[in-house]
Amino acid sequence: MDIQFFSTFQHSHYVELAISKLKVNEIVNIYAVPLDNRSMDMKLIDSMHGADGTSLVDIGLVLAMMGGTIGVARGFVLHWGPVFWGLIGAAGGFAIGFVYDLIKNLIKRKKIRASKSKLGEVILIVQCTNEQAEFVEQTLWGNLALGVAKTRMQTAQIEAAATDNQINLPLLEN
Amino acid sequence: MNNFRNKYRNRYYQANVTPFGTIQLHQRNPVIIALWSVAFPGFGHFLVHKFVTGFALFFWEFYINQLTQLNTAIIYSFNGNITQAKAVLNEKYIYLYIPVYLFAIWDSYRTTVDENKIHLLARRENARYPNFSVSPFEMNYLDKKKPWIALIWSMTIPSLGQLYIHRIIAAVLTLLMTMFIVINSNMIEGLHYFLLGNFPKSREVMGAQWLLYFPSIYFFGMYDSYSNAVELTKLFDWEQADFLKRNHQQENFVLHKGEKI
Repeated sequence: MDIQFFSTFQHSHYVELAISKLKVNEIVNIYAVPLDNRSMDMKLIDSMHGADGTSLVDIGLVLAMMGGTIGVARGFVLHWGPVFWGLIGAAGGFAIGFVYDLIKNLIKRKKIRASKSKLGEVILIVQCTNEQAEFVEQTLWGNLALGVAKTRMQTAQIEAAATDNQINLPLLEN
Repeated sequence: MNNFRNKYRNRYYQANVTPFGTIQLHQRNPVIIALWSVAFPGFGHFLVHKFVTGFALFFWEFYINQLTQLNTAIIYSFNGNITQAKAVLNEKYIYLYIPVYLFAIWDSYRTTVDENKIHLLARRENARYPNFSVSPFEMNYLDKKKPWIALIWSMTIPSLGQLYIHRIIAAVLTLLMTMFIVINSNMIEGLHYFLLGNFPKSREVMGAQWLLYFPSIYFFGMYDSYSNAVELTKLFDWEQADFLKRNHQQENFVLHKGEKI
């Protein structure tokens, strides 16, 4: 009676650490499926686990640079001086750019709902014997799996039948 | 060069992990790159990883700006003091400024458009590239980087965010220029009087010509580190997904319909 584990991960070094640890411990039946879920998830603020290229700082930082420069220049004449006016110019520029990008993106993503929960980015399927099951489960959780499911494989007969079908089908087609 | 020695001859690579930073092709907005060249010639080129061109343009602009006192003239112009602006500009050199300034803007725009095309080709070819670099100088590897952390470090002292994401060359330039500008513009002294509330004194001690360089460098450091942190994170995901597909999808693996325990 063998066990199959289904687990989801986010892309990180932990996925590779999990796989290599299992391999070192002679668990070699591992199947990995990376998922495509980037485009569905359009977040406004990039995090380490969700960078979708939507940026709210592109225009903002350019305008902050421009506003800051003009502010510093004007500050040499105005009472508050270059520091204050430079900061005001930069903050003002950034705010204008940020709001512009924000509105642009809010309109763009009207239809797409950003999910709040962590997304699974990789599915990892591990096959092992009953005795190894506990070690595998610990390894998966220990390397920050988002979810782990343990399934008991069907009896040998059904297994054999399943593999037979797989082999026979192409033959029949021929 | 590696292409011709390599058994697997690839035409384009998406990225390369080198000791001094991860060089990466990705889709960029040419207008944004051109706008950074407007801020300071050379910045646009740094963003598209053309460092030597960028250095040449950067130091050239810096040199001519110092010779002609362009920043001082800009300050007078913004304040409507046209006669003084005219007086301070050195007409012996100022005409040298215009063609190279426009070239920097045009060339960075053009390069971005070209690199975007190359990136598409490289994505489609999906060739393998080194994901790890060990050398006597540095250690570099693909990793996830938090964009907001890079941004915050860059806000303290420009260049720290770039060091965090391992963009060594850009970081060295940013740090050197920041120190140069801060020292020559008496910025710290100015900030000191500013914090004490003595605004006129603060304005007096600060050197206008030097101080005007600061906003461009400061915001460039922030943009460079943030945008590259985002792209490095995406590169890591793609590289890992590719690695998993290449190495962990054996044909003989059988999926069983089992009962969940």
